Amino acid sequence: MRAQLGLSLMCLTFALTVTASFPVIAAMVPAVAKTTVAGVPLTLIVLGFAFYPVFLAVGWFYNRHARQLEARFTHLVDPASRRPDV
Amino acid sequence: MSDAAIGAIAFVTLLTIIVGARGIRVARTPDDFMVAARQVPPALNAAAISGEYLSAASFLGIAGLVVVQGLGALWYSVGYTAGYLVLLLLVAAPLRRFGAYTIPDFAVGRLGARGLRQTATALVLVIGWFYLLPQMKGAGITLQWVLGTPYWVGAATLGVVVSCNIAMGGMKGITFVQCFQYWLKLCAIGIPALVLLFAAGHHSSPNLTPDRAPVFTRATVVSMSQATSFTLTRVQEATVTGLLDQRTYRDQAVYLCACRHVAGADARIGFAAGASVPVSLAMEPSSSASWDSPFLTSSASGAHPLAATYGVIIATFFGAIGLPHILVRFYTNPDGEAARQTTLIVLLLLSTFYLFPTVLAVLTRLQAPQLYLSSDSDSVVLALPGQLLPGLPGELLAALVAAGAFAAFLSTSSGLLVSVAGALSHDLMKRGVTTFRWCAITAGAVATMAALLVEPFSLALLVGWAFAIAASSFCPLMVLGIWWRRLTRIGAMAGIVIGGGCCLAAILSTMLGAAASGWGAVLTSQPAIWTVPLSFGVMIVVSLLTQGTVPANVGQVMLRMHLPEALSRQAYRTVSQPSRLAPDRRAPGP
Repeated sequence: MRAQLGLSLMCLTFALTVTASFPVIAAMVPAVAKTTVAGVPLTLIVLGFAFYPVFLAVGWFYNRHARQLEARFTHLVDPASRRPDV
Repeated sequence: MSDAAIGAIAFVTLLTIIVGARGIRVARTPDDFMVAARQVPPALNAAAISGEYLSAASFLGIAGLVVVQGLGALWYSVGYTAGYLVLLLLVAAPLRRFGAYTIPDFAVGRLGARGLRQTATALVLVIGWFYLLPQMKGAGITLQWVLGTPYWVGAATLGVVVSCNIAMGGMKGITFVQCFQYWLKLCAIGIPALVLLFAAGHHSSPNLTPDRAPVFTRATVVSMSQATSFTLTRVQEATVTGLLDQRTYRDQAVYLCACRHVAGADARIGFAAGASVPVSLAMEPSSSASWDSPFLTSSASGAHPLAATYGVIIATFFGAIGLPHILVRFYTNPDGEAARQTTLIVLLLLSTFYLFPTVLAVLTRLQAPQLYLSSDSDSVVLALPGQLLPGLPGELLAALVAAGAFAAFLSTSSGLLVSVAGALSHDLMKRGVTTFRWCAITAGAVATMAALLVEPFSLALLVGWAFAIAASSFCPLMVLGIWWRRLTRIGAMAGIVIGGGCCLAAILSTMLGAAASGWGAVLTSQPAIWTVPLSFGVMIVVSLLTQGTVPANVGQVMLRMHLPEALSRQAYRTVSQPSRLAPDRRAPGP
């Protein structure tokens, strides 16, 4: 359970840092908000598209590791169970 | 407005009722009604969750808000998606393993019954009703736009259809309906977005450039639906028919000064290509200058955009955990592992969907900037196809959008009504199918009445408030309840009452128009920024002060939430009856 919580908090911290730092950066460096990439505002790219793949990647990473943690724990408690495919 | 749109809405509604009716045959016991007997595979369940989640705010609200207020409003769609990531990381699997039906069930099973069940149920009702209001409003303005009926007709129609459907079908029907609704909604926003994108071409437009007022990309006639005051940023010529600045014109060329103008209802003003788009005073005056700002700028919180932005981020990131109609869906997963898979698929489905409101909003900004002069921000998406594609294709696309919007109201309000009616019947009254039915009808009627009062508020704002209340009451309860052994019943109650209460008070004071500017306005219109930490803090401090009342079975309950199924199944087999294959994980109700 402690390992699970650690994993959750790590993923959460990463996702929150990535997303929540954007307004602070944009507030401190106004040039960021005015940047355009090929005529499209950076804000639109980041808020409209870029965050979603990050969320999906974090979610996928978490699911994979949570499953491994559980398999390892199950194997530890009950050696007769299927070996964890680590 | 068009027969196609009327037909499409009627079709969606009928289809929803028919698909729902299929569920009646299956739904026999109260268990079936409540959580669809817990046998829904992840992909189906994920589509159902997404279908239920994507509400009027996602479908109409976000795009409209982006057009009017700027790109900062995209934080709503980012937050609505991120809410599921937080949910996946913190509560999905343990919550499923706990095996309760509703949030009040979870609270009581984890912490003990006295007083807590009533408190939690009251909050479910508050959040549920708050979330129902924007759905009803959405239905009101959609029917208003399509049929020209008064606002209340749409709200009442939705109320009646949803209440009756739920009273008849229960949740088994709803799972199929919701799944179907997700795909319908994706098509209804995706197809118009892509078609319009190609139809409009992707030639560069000056309107994306920062710090410039938008200009018309071609000669455009703006028809006023009501008396409107607007300002122009430079002197320009226009062809005017109807009342303008207290003079009546008939198709005359007029030089308009760079100042404030008032147009009468039914006035039509033609602008040449390249003319700058007038800025409506009824909408946000900030809309033209800072459209590409990454902050939320609403009229109430214009002074402190950073604080308002973080208010929305906190509310939406942590609010999804506390939404009653979403949590109940997690009990329909077969086990904790499936709950995690489901949530990941939901993330994928939501990310896909939210690309399209953004596309529509940018298209409006580029190609049809007149829309935010002549209409309510929430109906921008409905009006866009007709503006970009004249004739039959535009009409058909508009019909598709209207049908999708109606699907959004139907599905979200169905899910909400199941939760509200479930909370009323399951937690406060005698249980049973008949009670559930009557509760559904009563709850629907109450929500419809209340919806008549919220017409002036934007959809995204209303939904954001429901998230804020959920984030500052149930989110701390779920997170601490799952991960912190020392949480006590009194601590949980104090946190829910103080956090949720402060949040609700702040929102009500905004609705009544208390503080109009400065910090007061930010902190009351986006209260999550202080009520969520407050709620967590109160829950922790009061729990630490009342350590004597930590439930005696906390170890056992924690074990049940965190033990992988492979082990818990075995433990059940050895301890209880060896013949049972699956443990009976019923909610430990009173």
